[in-house]
Amino acid sequence: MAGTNTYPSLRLKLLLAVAPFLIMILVNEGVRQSQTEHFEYFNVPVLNSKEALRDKCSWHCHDNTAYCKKYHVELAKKHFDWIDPVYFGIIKLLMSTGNYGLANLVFLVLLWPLLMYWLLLRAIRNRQLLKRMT
Amino acid sequence: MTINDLIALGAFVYGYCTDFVINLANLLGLSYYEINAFFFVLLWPAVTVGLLLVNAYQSICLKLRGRNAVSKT
Repeated sequence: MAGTNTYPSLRLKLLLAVAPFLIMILVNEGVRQSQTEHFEYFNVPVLNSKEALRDKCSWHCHDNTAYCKKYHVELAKKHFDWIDPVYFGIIKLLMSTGNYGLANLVFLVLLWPLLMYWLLLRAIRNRQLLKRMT
Repeated sequence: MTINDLIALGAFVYGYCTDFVINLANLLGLSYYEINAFFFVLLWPAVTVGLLLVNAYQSICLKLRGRNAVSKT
């Protein structure tokens, strides 16, 4: 199945590239099935409300982290002191580009995942090369 | 495809990704903040550093084995 000189195979490369997006689509479309309301956020159709909800997260948590931390966070409460500097550091860094949304897409949806993908493929290929040498 | 189409596509992708984080948080009984922190403060940095170390280690092993193979011939 895997070509002798082309490991990882194209099938494995495609699977690794598509799997995270498939999981995202599965979750979102699964949630969409049970929804009766339609929401918009800045004229873009979205799956969740922008209202502040006490019992679950919404787009309000995206806009107001303090609200999310106050009403929804349980598990990470004890770790705010070390999570917050990194969390808000990333947000500040993305905001400093002048276009938060675009920077988010470029760095967190494209470049960083691409870097991890490339490193993973290299690690798989190197492992195969090392196996052949032994 | 015009620039407006690209902006609309970008807004849709951004919205879809943010909806995923909100949905995942609600499905797992966690929060938007916690899911974001898990991905971008814990998991991704750890995976990236881990993969960099694995790659560096493998590169050294490959170089050493290549050198040994040359010296045997």
